[in-house]
Amino acid sequence: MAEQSVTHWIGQLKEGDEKAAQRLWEDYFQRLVRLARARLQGVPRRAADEEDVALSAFDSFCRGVEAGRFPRLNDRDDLWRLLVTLTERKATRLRRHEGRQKRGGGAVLDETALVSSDDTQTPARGFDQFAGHEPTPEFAAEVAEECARLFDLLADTELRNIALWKMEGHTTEEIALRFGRAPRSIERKLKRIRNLWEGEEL
Amino acid sequence: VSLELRDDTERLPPHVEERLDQVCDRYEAAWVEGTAPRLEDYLGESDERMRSALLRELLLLEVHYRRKCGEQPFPAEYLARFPALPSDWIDRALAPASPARPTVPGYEVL
Repeated sequence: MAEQSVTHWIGQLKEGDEKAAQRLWEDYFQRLVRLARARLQGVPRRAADEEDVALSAFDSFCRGVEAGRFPRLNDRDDLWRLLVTLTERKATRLRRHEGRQKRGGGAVLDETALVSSDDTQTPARGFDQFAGHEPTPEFAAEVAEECARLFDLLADTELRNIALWKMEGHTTEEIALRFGRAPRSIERKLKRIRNLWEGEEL
Repeated sequence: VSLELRDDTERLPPHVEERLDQVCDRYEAAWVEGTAPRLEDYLGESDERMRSALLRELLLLEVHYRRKCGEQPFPAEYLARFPALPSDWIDRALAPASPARPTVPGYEVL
């Protein structure tokens, strides 16, 4: 069911009790990011460093969590939520594409992260892991891969560093202080990062 | 300075957004160096497409750095300098810790 997608689930969380939603969000993301981090650590390094940057992002997140900093569910600048949303959309597009190519093949997509092998007819089916808010290792691997790809889009070192700090859970004011910039400049650059990532999806 | 400001909220294309960001970076760097740059000098580098968004971004930066220097900028001054800017936007841009944030075309003020 489409309602089981993580994007929809996040939307539902935001409409519910704020504190309870934030706890579920933190729990889900903590597990997801640690799974993805483990996945990246187990992958041999490629010539390009995008996976290393992605790994830094996951390491940053873990440091942030240890310091009690979690991404806020109501933070419109949050890059983790965007990362998961983009990963999910990509997986859905891939599944639809493969569904068209191999129409009727019930087992076509059982290796993708987000799709149940027993149902290829219903769009966006297969997000069963979100029913219990448990990220699967497969989805975490997709997130890790997408994270590496998105960081590779940030050719500007400053943009990468700001993205890393944001993903570590720092506030705009903290990042501004760290880089000696006005908070407005950090907001502007986070907007650029989001636009670059969202634009790449199209 | 007379500016024709577009009143749209379209998202700027990535290359325009990048140029806007670069101009803002140079303007901010000049403030950090302590030269108190003149905002109007940086608008000359912009084309019509990014002028409105750039003016508002530079103004927000100017207000931040003027306050950091101990100044107290007032809306009336900016209304006189940039009559094409909506007065309510200027009011919000200069409101200290206001919950209602000003909007910048192509941007989301958080």
